[in-house]
Amino acid sequence: MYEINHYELFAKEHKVLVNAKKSLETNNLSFDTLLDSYSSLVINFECLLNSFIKVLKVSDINERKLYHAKELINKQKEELEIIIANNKLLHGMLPICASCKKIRDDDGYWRQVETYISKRTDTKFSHSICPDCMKKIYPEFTEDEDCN
Amino acid sequence: MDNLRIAKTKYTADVHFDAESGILEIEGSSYPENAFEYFQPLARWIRIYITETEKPIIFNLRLQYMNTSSSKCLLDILYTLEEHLKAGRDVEINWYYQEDDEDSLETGEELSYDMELKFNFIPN
Repeated sequence: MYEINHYELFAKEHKVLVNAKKSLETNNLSFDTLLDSYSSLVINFECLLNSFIKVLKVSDINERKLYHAKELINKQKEELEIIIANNKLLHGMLPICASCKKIRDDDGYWRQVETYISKRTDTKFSHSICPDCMKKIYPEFTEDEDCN
Repeated sequence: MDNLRIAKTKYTADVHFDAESGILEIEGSSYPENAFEYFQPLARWIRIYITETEKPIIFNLRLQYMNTSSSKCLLDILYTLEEHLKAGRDVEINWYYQEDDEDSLETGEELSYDMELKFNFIPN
């Protein structure tokens, strides 16, 4: 893995420390030199502090952004898993009675279509009667179009 | 002076600094392993550019995401541009953000805080 030299990121600020250290090494400890070094250190420390605070705040925002993104991914993953599970339940060949239309489940029991689908999906059935069946079952309630 | 063009990668943003127009653009996300290495040519180009020209600078930033190191490097570039502004030049920062991305807007606001640079926050 590439090793990052973090001093590079703070090269500008680090240079001040390097210069101060050089002054010590060369025993250049005159009042003016010390005053210059001190002033530079104070200015750069303030600058560093400001940068640090800003970078920290941006870092916090990014952390929050990543957290929300992770939450969204987890939520979408759960939704996707439900969709896949539902798809699996209604996938493949279904044995259905050619006459009464009941469906044979995995245990070998013949179930009504609505019972079979309701058990495996979120689908709910609302019962009604189609016009063709209405004519067959309740002809007395059906207006004969030919008579009109 | 030559333009600076760096095509975006999986981890770095698209960079287009136009020396003629003074329009500098960074677009995309920035989270390289070594942000300093990536931003160094940008910072160097800007430092040379401001010594060679007196043209106004427009810095267009369209950043979706950047890691902590990238934000430090960007901040250093903004400080350099601020020095340019203090020297009497025109510098304008356009911070573009997705309208539903409050985090991006907040990032721009944090960076602009306490700076003399003029930041325009522009929703996309």
